[in-house]
Amino acid sequence: MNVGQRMKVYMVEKMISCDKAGYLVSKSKETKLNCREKIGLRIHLVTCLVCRQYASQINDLQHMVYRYKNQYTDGTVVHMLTDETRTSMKETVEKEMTGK
Amino acid sequence: MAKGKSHKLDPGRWVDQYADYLFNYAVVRLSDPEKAADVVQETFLSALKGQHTFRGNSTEKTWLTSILKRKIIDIYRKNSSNRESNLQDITDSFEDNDYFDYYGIKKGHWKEEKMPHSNSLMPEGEVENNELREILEKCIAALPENLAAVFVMKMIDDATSEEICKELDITPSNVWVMMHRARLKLRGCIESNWI
Repeated sequence: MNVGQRMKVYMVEKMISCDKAGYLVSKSKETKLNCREKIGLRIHLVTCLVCRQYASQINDLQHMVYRYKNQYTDGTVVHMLTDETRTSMKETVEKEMTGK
Repeated sequence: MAKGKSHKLDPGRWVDQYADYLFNYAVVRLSDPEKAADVVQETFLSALKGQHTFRGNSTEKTWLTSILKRKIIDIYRKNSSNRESNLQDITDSFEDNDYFDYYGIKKGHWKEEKMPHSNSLMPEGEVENNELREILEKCIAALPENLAAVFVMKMIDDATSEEICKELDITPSNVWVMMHRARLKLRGCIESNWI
């Protein structure tokens, strides 16, 4: 085998599959990938359209959750108790207070 | 009670002043209005019992929220210690039969029906905040409880992996795998419900 062939065999052996690539896309959002993971993922993404789309959608997901979270950071209340639950809560608290 | 600028407790007004805020906080983190109402109720009762522990250096609201936060984490712990149902999710393996093929030459490839179909997870054009909220809350609620807990702690409460490991008694690689599974499911849910 010449050097080119040997490299090709080496690359194929080191190639990661889509499941691992998907995992690494996600892991890269939590922690720094090591060199081997980074290179493995990059080579996979060059060759795989579906995983490129996946990676791009996961970026979108990150942005969506960030935007969603920001809807609440100023204390905005979207979900409200029903009047019934609020009243019963109040009664329970009052009962507990006077019980002492 | 301490004098000066310190804050005072006024339990008689708690429900009127904070119940909706606390309920909203709990719904976002538990994806379940019924459980959320229960845990808010428990928060008020614990707070009444623990009034003497209030030091007055935070506001009533902050103090009540911190009690609620603790209770929500207790619920997460309970869910994640109920491991029988979650055995598949608490693992260090990223392999997932639901999403990838493990037969023949297609080993590790996307299943046709589970693969993404475009670069974007957002529909074209402007998306209103409430549309975005509805779809995310719907899809997070559809996650298995232990995946939702890790996802929310990480993404909504900005908990570090170390904090999550400590609270839920799992390893960092459990966290990565669980975040991966959560994202696989959320992506699929959002794409099929939206685009």
